[in-house]
Amino acid sequence: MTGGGDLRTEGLGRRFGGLVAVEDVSVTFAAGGVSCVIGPNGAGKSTLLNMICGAIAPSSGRILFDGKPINGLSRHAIARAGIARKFQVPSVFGSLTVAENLAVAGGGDTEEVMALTGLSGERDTRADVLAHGKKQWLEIAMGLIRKPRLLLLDEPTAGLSPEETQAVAELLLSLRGACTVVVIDHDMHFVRALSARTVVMHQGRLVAEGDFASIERDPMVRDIYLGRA
Amino acid sequence: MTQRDKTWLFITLAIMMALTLYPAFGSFSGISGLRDILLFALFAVSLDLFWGRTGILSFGHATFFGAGAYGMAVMTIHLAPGAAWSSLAGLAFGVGLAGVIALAVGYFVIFGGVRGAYFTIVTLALTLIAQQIAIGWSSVTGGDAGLIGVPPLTLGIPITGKLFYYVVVGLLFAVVLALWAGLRGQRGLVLRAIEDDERKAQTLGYNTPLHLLAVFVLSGLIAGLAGALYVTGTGFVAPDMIALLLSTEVIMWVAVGGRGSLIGAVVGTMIVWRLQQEVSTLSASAWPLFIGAFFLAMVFFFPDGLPAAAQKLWARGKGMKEGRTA
Repeated sequence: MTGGGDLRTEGLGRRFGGLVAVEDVSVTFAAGGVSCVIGPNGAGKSTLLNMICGAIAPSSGRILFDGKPINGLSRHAIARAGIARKFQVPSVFGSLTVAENLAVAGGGDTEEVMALTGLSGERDTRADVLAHGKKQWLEIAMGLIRKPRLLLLDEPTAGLSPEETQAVAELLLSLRGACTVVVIDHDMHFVRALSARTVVMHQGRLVAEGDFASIERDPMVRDIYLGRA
Repeated sequence: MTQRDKTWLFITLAIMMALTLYPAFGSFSGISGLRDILLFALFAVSLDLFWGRTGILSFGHATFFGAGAYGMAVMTIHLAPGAAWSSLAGLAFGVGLAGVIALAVGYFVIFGGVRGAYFTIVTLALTLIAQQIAIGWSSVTGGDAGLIGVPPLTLGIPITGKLFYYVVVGLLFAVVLALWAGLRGQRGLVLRAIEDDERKAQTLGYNTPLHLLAVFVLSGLIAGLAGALYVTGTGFVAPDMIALLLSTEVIMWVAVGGRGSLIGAVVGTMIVWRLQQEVSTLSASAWPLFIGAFFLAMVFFFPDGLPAAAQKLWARGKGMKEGRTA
């Protein structure tokens, strides 16, 4: 890793016609830290990630990466700035083998990353025949091999076993200091295992942030998850 | 080098060897006929480069072949008739014209995000527009009648007869081998990745429209080269060299040979031309009807091309034989 990058959003908003998906979100993800973004379905978490990695343009506000605005940059330019993203649905190149996927993703030591993510035995397997869990690992590996300064992960543990979920948590925690990690996930066991700074979104707005223990005890957050807010 | 690469090289070199030996046995008309088919094969390779490696179907490739053909004809007949360098200027003008059209159209279409069936429709319209220009701008293009009197290729010495045939064979295989070698490594992987999931490729830092545009322009340049050389053999250019039927036929040649292998486009072109000769002896007007029906049959029964279908049949037969032995 090349050292984490500092990500800050200022008054970030996105509207789809009359629907407000994200509204006035100002948040900082400090360099080298691991953070979680949680919230119920439709809270605006994925839209926030889409804006950060350039998939959609913000309707308002700014996104600053290491102090430089990245609004309006193309996806590939944002990726080249050092931001890697894992999608909610595993997104790998099905017609390529595991090793070829990693070669396309770029640069790093393929064997080392495969060993780190448990893919060494699948080196020459086409990605489209991998089990769902292996695809998740492959996409995480494709992010890691690029040595990003910011790694955005959208539900990296969906479909993984409890043991694999724990392994992902340990892997992400091992990146602390070397890479800024922002994770979106619904799995509270996973978020608890990360025990990281947690940002809560609800109806497009940022409603709470702090360490996970305090967030877990927050009555408003409990109400949101129980559907009372 | 993988086993697959070795097989590909063996087949390619075997075909090249057979084509090199052909003039020793073929008649003059047979040699010139095969030369023209090989120039169409070069045109098919150009489409296979784009369609086979990016997964995006261009229905307008006759535009580039026609641009090359008209560029060569206009330069050698109107702009520099009789000059010693007119063939070279015609080649440069024809290939350049095809490249400029590919660059201009490709830039707006590819960077505009047009993909899939929409790309196919836009390029289909491109051929229609190009053909209308070729017919309508009669003072330059000769209109419906085209232009007659394109001189033979001259590059210091006249390139005619068997020499022209060998130049075409050499050029075809130089292009096929160069593309194969150039697309084996990281470049080829990136194109396959873009075909699989362009959005994902972008999030890995690849400027995918730029990659696609580069391949489209290179493809247009090769098609233009095929067109420019073709008219020096036939001696004339006509609007059917920039027509929708030719755009359809080249898709057929690539589909029959199996897209993506480059050498498959050469094999496919030769198979379909042989079929065309057979069908045309029965009825000259039956060919367009036949090619339509054949195309449908290919899509439904052999979507990966005839060589791939033959390979599957062979593997199945081998499996059955081994099953009986066991």
